[in-house]
Amino acid sequence: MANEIKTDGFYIFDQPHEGSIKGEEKPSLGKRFRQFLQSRYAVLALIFLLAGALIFYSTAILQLQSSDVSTVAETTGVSRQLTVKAARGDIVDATGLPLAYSIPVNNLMLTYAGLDNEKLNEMLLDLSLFLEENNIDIIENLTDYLVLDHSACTHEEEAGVDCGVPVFAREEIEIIDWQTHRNTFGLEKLSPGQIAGFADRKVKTDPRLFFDYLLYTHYAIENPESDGLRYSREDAFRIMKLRYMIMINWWTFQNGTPIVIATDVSDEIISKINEQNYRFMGVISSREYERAYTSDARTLSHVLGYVGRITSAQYENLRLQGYAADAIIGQAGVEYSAERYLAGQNGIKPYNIWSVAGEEGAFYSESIGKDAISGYNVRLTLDLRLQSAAVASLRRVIEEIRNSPDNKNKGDADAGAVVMLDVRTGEILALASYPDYDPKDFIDQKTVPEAAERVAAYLTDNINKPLWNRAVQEIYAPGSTFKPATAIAGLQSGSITASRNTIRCKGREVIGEWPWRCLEYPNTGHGNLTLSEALATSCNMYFLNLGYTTGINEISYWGSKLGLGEITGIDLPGESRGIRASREVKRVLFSDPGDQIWFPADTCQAAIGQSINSFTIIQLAVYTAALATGKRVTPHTISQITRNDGTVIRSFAVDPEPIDIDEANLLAVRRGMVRSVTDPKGTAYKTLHDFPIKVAAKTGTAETGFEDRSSSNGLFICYAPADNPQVAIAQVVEKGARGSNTILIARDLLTAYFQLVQAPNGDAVLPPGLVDDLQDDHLENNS
Amino acid sequence: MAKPGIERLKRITYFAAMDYWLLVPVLLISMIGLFVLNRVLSSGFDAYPMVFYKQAGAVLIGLLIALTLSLVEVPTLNLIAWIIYGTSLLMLVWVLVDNFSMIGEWGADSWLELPLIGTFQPSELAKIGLAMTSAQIFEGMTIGRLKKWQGGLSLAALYGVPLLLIREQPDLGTSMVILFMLICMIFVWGLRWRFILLGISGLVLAGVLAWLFLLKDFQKSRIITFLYPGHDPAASYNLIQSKRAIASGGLTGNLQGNLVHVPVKESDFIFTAVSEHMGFIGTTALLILIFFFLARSLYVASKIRTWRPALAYTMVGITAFLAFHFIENLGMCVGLLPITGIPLPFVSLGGTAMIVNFLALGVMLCISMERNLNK
Repeated sequence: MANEIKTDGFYIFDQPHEGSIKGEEKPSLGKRFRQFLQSRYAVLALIFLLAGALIFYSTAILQLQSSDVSTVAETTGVSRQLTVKAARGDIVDATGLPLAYSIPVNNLMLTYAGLDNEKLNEMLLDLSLFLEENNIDIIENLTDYLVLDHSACTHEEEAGVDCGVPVFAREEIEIIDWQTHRNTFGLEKLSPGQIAGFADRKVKTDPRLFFDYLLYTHYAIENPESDGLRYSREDAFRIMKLRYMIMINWWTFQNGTPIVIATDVSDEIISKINEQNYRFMGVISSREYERAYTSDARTLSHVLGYVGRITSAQYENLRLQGYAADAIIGQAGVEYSAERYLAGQNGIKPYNIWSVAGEEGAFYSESIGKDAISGYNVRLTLDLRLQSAAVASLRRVIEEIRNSPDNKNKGDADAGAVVMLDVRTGEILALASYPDYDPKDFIDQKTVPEAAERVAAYLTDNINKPLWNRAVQEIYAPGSTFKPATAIAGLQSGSITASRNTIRCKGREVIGEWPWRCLEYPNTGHGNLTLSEALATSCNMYFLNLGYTTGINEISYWGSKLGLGEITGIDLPGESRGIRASREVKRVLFSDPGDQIWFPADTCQAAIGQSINSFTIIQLAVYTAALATGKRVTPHTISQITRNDGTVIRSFAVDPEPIDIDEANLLAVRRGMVRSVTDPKGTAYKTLHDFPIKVAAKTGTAETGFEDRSSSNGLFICYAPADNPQVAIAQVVEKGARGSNTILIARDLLTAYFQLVQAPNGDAVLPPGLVDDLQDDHLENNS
Repeated sequence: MAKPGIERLKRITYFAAMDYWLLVPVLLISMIGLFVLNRVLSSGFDAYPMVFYKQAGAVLIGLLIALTLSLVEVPTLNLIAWIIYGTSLLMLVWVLVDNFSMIGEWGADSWLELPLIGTFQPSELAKIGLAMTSAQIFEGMTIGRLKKWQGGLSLAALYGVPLLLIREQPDLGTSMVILFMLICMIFVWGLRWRFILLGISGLVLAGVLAWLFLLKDFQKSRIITFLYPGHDPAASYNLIQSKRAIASGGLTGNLQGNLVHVPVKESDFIFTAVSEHMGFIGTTALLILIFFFLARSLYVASKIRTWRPALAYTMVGITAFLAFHFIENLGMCVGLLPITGIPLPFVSLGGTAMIVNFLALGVMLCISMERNLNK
């Protein structure tokens, strides 16, 4: 057997007995143990046993000697909970191109660790130097007001000697406001003749004195009674910056809410700091998600909206839904209206910090906590290719109108909006409002000063109102674009019929106790006009007559049926209802009894889209779609809510609602709208007659009542193809002088749309001028 | 090859051959571990009691594996050695290349996610494999089958490959364990004292040089913190909490249930929980069991060294790495040694580590029974 095993590698001697020769008697236990002791195995065993004895001794000392446990530790750990913010859902366009997404960011935060003044200052300096070494910017506000000026330093001095001089970074009046503010230092104003010292609570207009006040009194970084200084001025200023952040957040800070002191910190630095948590007491980190926008988002500013810190009013409403006081939520556009889908659910993470003894807290087990659930994704109905065509064309047309003034155009066009929607579904394909803004600036304002300036401009510019969505929130007198509605009212009420609808334009006529003149032929008049001729030439006299015989009640009724002056239900916030002229509305709108009376001339004015008629562009788009199809759509910008894996949670398709209008009457109006493009006398003929696809259109020039100072608004509505409608467009250029001036925007959009219809995967090829514009935009964005 | 157990059972009954001096202490250690773990896990663990049942199951499975291994004939042990060594190498490579490797929560990226089994540290297996395979080379050198240079080269190759692979992860703790094991085996194999002294002085010199030129500041600060806890009153949170927890146990355990928070109490700092729940009496019993077990292993090894050198060296290797784990873990809990992520064998929470430890026990039992059968 032994031989057999030998070949297997484990060598086996022939003597299996311990220390004895085969056949001899087995040695005694004592002898065997002595043999063991002489071997090196015993040396090893002794070493192990020695280690065991040491461990036993150390354990026993701890267990049996120290009855007072607290003598062991001077500091202790405290556990608190931290909210882990959920990643906001993505927003993509109709083709799936990303517009808004979330990026993970490491934040470094300071929490209340109950440190005394001295220890806190030491720790803050240590932290501050550590972050500086690693080139991490600290988020702080003190330097907005107080800085150390190094301009007088010589080169050698800059190397480290204290040569920086404290100076204020703002005007004195702002500094006084700052120092006296209750939430900052709350200093008292100086009465005349008083002189402030560093130890009193008076306003200090001398920056050096104020520096000393912070140094010795307010933050007690140095002791005025001791000889010499503990910290250099630079180091003291480093401490002040962080102390200032703690001070202005003191209330929430001492209640356990951490203060973010650095953001976008690398994982490596985070782990270094966590590892040395005893050194940086109270410093913790968390991984958060920040909103980010692609460069394409710029073109969708008003649809996308932007995110921002929750306002106090919003917090009151949303706190019960789990929103924190520092939550970032959607403040406009889809970011706002789809907030409940995008937001996701915050998680909870326990964290342990160092604290001085006595600051006991409950300890959370490592396994307690809840993962954050990221938000759902939103797919828009808008196609980025059409949207960028709309934005570029709108801007270009406004500029062109401004640059070609004439007798009616004062060259003051400065704003506008355009909406294109699918008449079959109500999906909005493009929605532009000018002036616009960059949603990215709201994210970057924390870090990029230029972005902060732009945001300030967005919020304060009350003339251009770049944040204002002019397609949804602003109301405009529709002008002649209302005439198809008057025509529908006349046809439906029987004032005219689809076959007998001739009215004579005499040039000048008293209608409804008011003298009117034809704008085109004030002396001779158009003569006999059919409805389609009247719509094509947009003759006011025809519609004044028609409106007067039809009556305001009918006009208002059919206007509401067509969606004018009614909430469209678009999924963007702040939709305006508009004003549809009627007897009741006038009564409600004006307080002076004399103004509340409805005059016959008001009916005439309303019939041509003036009077108090004011609608949103989105209403005009829905109205145009209704003229095209006889159905009222619900316009929407969100097509689907999806999970990350692509499964659809909700779709927003709403079936169009049929309107009870005779098809023959609709046809009569449509004929007139087509004729405005095809008839050489038509108002849209010049720009659209050579368009390869038949378009039905109506221009509108709306008086704003300020014609002595500024131009009229130019409006335009259309749908195409005229025989088989797919899309409707409504647009306005504020102070565009004439509706016909704006048609180019619609033409550009239709060009882009029908190119995509023919080649769904291609790029929309835009007219030459527009392509240049887009490229310029691109360069601007990059520069 | 002979069928496992058959030849042996011809000679003596299995139960008579079993080495209870090794088996019983380990069983008692595991029982203490389960008792304490049950207490720890029941307060504040979401997955309790499932996580406890898993641990108890791991002890049972481990025991079965150990008893099965103890039945194995010695030649089969030889084959098993190479299988374990080869498997561990494959897994170490797998850890490096495969997406399955995930980040271990407490330290190096050295874990393997296996289907059914869960997370697994291949370097654990490598230790057993190395002890068993290198023992055969040491034996070769002892009986003269291998020349010293041949043996040295073989050992270098045998240890070099897994050490390099582990270095890639990187896992300093495991490398230290393996080196310690090698040193112990060289020592009992019979390296001359003057070489040993030379080696020690070389190590001291290397340490000084590393301090001066190699270590980064934060690494130095770790070491200083360890050497002079008093120099920083806020020194290492874990250590101070650990000491507080041990101290709170007193003579018979902290019965008020006023427990001290120690991070990873269920794993690396399980000893603090033993003290909290069982006090001086419990920890003393645990220490006696552990060090009796280690000493007994070495005693058995010394008794078979003359006629089964490979088995003796295997025994020493396994004892050495278990001893390193025990001593390092206990030493860190009481502040004698720096804090590393080494759990307490047979006690700490962790199913796969438990099973691997029992695997080692199985090999030891097999070796000890070989001695009992031939006495």
